[in-house]
Amino acid sequence: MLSSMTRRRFLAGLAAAGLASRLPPALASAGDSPITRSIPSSGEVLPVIGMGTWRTFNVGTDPGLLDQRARVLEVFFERGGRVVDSSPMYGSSEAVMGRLLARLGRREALFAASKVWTRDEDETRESVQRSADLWGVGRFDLMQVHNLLGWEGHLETLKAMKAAGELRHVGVTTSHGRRHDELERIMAREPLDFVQLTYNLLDRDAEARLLPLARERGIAVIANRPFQGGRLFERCQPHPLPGWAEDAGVSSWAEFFLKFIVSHPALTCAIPATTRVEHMQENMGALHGRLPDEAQRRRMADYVASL
Amino acid sequence: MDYALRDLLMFTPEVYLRLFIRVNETLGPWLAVVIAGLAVMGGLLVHPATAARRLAFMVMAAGWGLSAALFMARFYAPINWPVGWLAWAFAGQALLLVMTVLRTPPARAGGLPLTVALAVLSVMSLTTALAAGEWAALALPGATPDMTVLTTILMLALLPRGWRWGLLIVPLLWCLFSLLTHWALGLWRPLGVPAAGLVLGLAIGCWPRRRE
Ligand SMILES: NC(=O)c1ccc[n+]([C@@H]2O[C@H](COP(=O)([O-])OP(=O)(O)OC[C@H]3O[C@@H](n4cnc5c(N)ncnc54)[C@H](OP(=O)(O)O)[C@@H]3O)[C@@H](O)[C@H]2O)c1
Repeated sequence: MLSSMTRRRFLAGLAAAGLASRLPPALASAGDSPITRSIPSSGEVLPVIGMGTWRTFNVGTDPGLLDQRARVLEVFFERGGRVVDSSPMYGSSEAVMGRLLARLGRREALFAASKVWTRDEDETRESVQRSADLWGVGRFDLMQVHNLLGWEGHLETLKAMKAAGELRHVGVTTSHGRRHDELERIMAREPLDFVQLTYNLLDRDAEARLLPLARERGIAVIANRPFQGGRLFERCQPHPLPGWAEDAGVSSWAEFFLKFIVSHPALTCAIPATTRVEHMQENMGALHGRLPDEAQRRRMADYVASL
Repeated sequence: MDYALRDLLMFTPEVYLRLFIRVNETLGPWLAVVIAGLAVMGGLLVHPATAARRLAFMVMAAGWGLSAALFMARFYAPINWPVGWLAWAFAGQALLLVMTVLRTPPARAGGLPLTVALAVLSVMSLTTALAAGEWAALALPGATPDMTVLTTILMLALLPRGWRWGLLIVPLLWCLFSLLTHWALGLWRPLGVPAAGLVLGLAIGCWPRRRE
């Protein structure tokens, strides 16, 4: 599944998807191609770094903050990002995303991922439509059941919507390691395209059963809370990067955390969230260069645990 | 892995502090009216005529309405959905205040307590400005919920004790909600306003009698 694509294959893929003309200039001139993974169920290729919107894009109608977040989103697309994750639970984030996408005119590059978050299992379609209206997208690339809330009813409707071509992929999410047993049962039983769960250098429960199961069942995996909500920086940033980090393809703490995640063979992408342009630039650095091997991954985990 | 309070909060301190700047910007020249209203209210509360003191409470009720409609419903609710419901509670509190003072006249405020209260409220108004590093983020009673609630709680001391508890429910609930929000945001100085509201609210609820 891992495919560090050659530049030619990447460009060919974009051309096939009708995206070549929208190739960001920074990327077009970049020496190395972005690290990508394919979605097992559809074969679509995604860059391994996406972005989240929890807290960071909930800015309401504040004109100054909308301008600032527009720059963050612009850098994300310029640096080759595609997957944007949001939810009706995130306040105004979906509405903000819709405004900014309209302003930047980048809907074509976007892989739009949102969620259904309501206890009412009969309200799935209305929820998806509300989100689509807010984002200004015709259909979502991925619609997930947020935190497994009312998942049985919602998933049935989402599968039907996918069959009717109203959605491209379906999935479910959890976070903070909650309800992993239930998630495992759902993954074993349901034809999911995606699963989203918390996976980072400090929260590695998913490695035991969920990630192997995802590989076995051909389910794409999105890692949320890749920086443990920012705590990884608080813990590690006072310390220098280890001398061997460069061998693992890492030149900043952001890359250290993200490349650890996306180098797991079951992972499809990580979705770090940020309010700041310079942090977005740093995070998107993890989309390029080498990935750590298994031995280096162990060393990374041991190093962070020792801090 | 476990949820921490800050994991549950869906906006950043920056966005929150910007709300005060935006409300002040939106009010523009009307800010002068709010400030004048507050000054007049002080005068009305020490006035010997019952009607004047009733009017002071009605001016405060208008402040609850303004905070609900502008700060809460228009700016705060889009980033923090429980605030949409709490804005309705604020509107209800405005009505309750008016109905209460029409039925029971407030006592006359003493000059010294009023001066102390005004000084404390002025300092409290500055906490958001200090946190934001901008004067424009000043939180005025009558235009922003925490300061409106704190001012009202102090005014409730002028009502008979039996009437106070009914009027303390929304303020105390708000103070608790706001205290937790500030805690999760790590905004320690502005947290002082709802914290003071909680302590004073409980004290005033239990205070044995009003000054006549
Ligand atoms: N149940 C679910 O479905 C679920 C649950 C949780 C999360 N999620 C998704 O996953 C996304 C990511 O999780 P998250 O937002 O909770 O946490 P996160 O991405 O692990 O961490 C975000 C924090 O990291 C900081 N940060 C980002 N880049 C940085 C850098 N280069 N240097 C220093 N600090 C940096 C950000 O601060 P700055 O703004 O200062 O950069 C922010 O405080 C969410 O936005 C959401 O889309 C889904």
